[in-house]
Amino acid sequence: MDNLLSQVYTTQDLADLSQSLTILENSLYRTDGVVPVGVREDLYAAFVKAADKRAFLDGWTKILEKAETVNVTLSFSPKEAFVLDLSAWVKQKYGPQAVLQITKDESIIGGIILEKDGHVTDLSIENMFDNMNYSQQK
Amino acid sequence: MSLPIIVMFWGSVLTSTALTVVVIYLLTKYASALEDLNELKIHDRRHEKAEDIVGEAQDQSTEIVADFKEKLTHVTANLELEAQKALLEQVAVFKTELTNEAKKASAETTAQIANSFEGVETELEDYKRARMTQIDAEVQKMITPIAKEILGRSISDSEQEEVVKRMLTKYGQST
Repeated sequence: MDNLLSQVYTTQDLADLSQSLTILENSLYRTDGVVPVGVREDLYAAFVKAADKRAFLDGWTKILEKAETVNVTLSFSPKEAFVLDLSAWVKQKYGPQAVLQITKDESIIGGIILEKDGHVTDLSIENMFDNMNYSQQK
Repeated sequence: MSLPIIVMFWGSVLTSTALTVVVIYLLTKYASALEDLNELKIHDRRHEKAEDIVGEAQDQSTEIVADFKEKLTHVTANLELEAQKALLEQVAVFKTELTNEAKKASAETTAQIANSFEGVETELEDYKRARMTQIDAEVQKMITPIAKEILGRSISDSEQEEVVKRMLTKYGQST
């Protein structure tokens, strides 16, 4: 670790390394089960066979552009099985185009906060405490 | 000795004349006396009549007075009874009104006391509620950070997952 920088020679190397770190960070909650291996192989095969590879990629890109992000805040780092369960619940709730964007925030103590298109559903323990205090103050 | 006839004649005439005058005078007096007597008798009769009338009048007046007294006594007695009755009625009415007024005043006083008591009770209840809320808020303010810290630390990841699943299930059922 101490000699990491000794192996970074150029700014491009630094950018590549930063990009790799970003990729690693973004893949923290990635699951291998979301895109089954079969689907991936079919995609590759279809891509190889496609006469117009640009049109093929544009088509898939448009499909992926339809994805709707659901921001999820948890107080812990979820395991892969839990992420899959959570994704299934979110897709059932908001539709198959719903994609999880998971963030960890210990201050919510427990529970979950869901946010989609500006609409927040706060099911966190912290919020419960706040509501309890508010109702008692009333 | 014999007196002359003439003298005797003239003496007799004079005597007779004198006697006649005297007789006339006496007769006149007698007549006057009779008239007086008659007048006196008339007067007496009138007097008697008057006395009779006065006596009758006195009798009648006595009867009238007695009758009047009797009637007056009767009327007075009736008046007393009626006055007594009217007075008793008035007293009864006054008593009823006084009782009603007393009851009304008592009810009003009771209501006023009840209202005042209720007002004080409400104020006390409000104060108590406000104070309790304040105390609760202060206690919550002290306890919440500690509870959060302890709870955050004490829940394991698997328990956290379980909590989230339960919350999502409950939320899904409520929407």
